[in-house]
Amino acid sequence: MSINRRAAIAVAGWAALETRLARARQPARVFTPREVELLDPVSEMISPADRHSPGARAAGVSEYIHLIAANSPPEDQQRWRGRVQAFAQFAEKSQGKPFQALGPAQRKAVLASLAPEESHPRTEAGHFFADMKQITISAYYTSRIGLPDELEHKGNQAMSVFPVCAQPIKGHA
Amino acid sequence: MLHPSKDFRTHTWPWELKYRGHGRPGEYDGLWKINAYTDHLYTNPRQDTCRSQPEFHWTRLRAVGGRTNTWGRACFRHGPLDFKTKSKQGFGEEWPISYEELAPWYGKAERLVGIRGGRDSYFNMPDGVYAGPAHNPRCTELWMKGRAAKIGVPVLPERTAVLSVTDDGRRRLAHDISPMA
Repeated sequence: MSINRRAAIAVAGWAALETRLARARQPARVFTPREVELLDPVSEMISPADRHSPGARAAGVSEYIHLIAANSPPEDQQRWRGRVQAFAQFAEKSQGKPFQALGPAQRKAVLASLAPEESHPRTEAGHFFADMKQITISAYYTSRIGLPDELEHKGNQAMSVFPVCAQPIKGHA
Repeated sequence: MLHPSKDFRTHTWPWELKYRGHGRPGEYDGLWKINAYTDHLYTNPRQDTCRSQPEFHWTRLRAVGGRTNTWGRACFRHGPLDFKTKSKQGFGEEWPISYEELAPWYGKAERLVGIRGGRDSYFNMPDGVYAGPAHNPRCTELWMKGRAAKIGVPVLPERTAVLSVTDDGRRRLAHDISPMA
């Protein structure tokens, strides 16, 4: 390999690294602050704080959604934005006010009217609900609150014996 | 040289990895078995290419022991039907050997590896030479077994190269691997 070619490759390598660093320094901003106010309560409604667990907000679900969206390829970021906007429009059209201004019962009605679409979304708003449910479950049950605290998952462990099930689940017989 | 305590992420919790183990969105799409738990062991077939048919997915490890490091440890014998699918079931090709010819070699391999499994006498799933009985089922597995029995589906223990008994003088330590890693 000639010196010139080697130098050219080194320069190209540096340029690529610079681009990557610049991108890493950019603040994660896929959603507007107004949309953030929408994502957070939707995830909390999907996995609410109740007597079983502290819920999606405590588990940092919406922060995870921002992380994923901000580091997704541009076309996926566009899809996230398009769907959150479609959902906002759907909520306002069906309840007469922006989602952020709705009370708990009205917010619930919005989600309930999209829930039947979950397995086969027909609209962009329906896609948003399905996406949100999927990512909320994924984020929640990979968090400390969801995995070891709620599911009582013990993590991978070295075991010298495999004990007999001590507390059979009711109704297994 | 592979250093088990440093080079395996088996005990890493998902929230300890930036994308919960999935990698940056899209990073590992279409790459079989490669994720943030394993990407330091596997070669990336997009970067480390080899000459082969495009439909052949070639996933390799660069670590002492190769793919055994991330192998799920299931050790089933193929059954008599699997060697003669063309004549018995009308698809695929006949193997040039039969199950009966291969059976003694399965036994040798099983004794070498050290496997726990049950004597289940199930159709086309021959029992092997096992160092110990199958592991006790977990509570959830018992539940599943009971429910499946109601619709006539048997739930049998895996034959697995995970020993918690001493086998031919070598001490074995079992390691419970969840589907997480």
